[in-house]
Amino acid sequence: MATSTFGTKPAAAPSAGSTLGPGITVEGEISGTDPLVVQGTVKGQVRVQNAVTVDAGAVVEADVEATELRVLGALAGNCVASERLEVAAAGRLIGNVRAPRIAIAEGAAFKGQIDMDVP
Amino acid sequence: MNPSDAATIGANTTVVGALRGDVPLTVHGRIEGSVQLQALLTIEAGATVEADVEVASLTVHGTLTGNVVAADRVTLSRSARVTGSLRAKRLQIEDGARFQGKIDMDEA
Repeated sequence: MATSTFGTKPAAAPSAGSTLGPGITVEGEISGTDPLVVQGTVKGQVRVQNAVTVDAGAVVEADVEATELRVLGALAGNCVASERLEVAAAGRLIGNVRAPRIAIAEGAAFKGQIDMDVP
Repeated sequence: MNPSDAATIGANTTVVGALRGDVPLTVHGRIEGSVQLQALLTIEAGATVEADVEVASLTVHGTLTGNVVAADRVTLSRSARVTGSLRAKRLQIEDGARFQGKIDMDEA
C-alpha cells in the first residue's frame, strides 16, 4: 500500500499503458493511444497510436496498426507501423508489412510482402 | 511489472469484443462486449465497462453496465456506478455507490 498524506486515497497512477498478460485472450478490436504489450492471445484487430509489442509467447492473429511494432512472439496479420517495425530473433511474422523502417533480426521468421515506400 | 497486475487496460485504450483469461485484470480504460475471467476483475475509477461479466470476483470503482456473475465476491466501492444484474456469493456495497438493477445471492 502506497503511503498517502492526510488520509486521502493515493491518486490513481498515471496510465502506464495496456498489458495483456499470458493468461488473457481478446477476440475483437483493441484501439487507443496507450502503449500496448501483448503476452497472451489477440484475434481481431489492433489499432493503437503508440508502440505495440507482441511479446515472447504471445499469439496475435490480427491486423495491427501502430507507430512502432515489435514482434518477439507470433504475429499473423497485415501490419502498418508509421515509424518502425522490428522482428526480434525469436519473432515470427506472417503478413504484409508497411513501415518506413524495418529491422528483422537473424533467426526471425518472416513471410509476406514488405512496403517501405511510406509517404 | 507488478505481478498481481498481470493484465491492464490503460486509460486510453478501448477493447471491443470478447475478453477471456485466468489472470487478474485491471481496467482503467474501456471494454465493450464480454469478459470471462477466472480471477479478480478491477474496474478502476474513470473506467467504463459495458459488458456481460463472468468472473471469480469483481471490484468496481468506475462505471459498469451489464450482467455480472461472480463465483465469489463483488465489491462496489463508493465511487461505483453499476447498472445491471448482479449474481454473487458475497456482495459488498459501500455507502455512496450507485446501483440500479437486480441482485441474486442465491447459491443455485
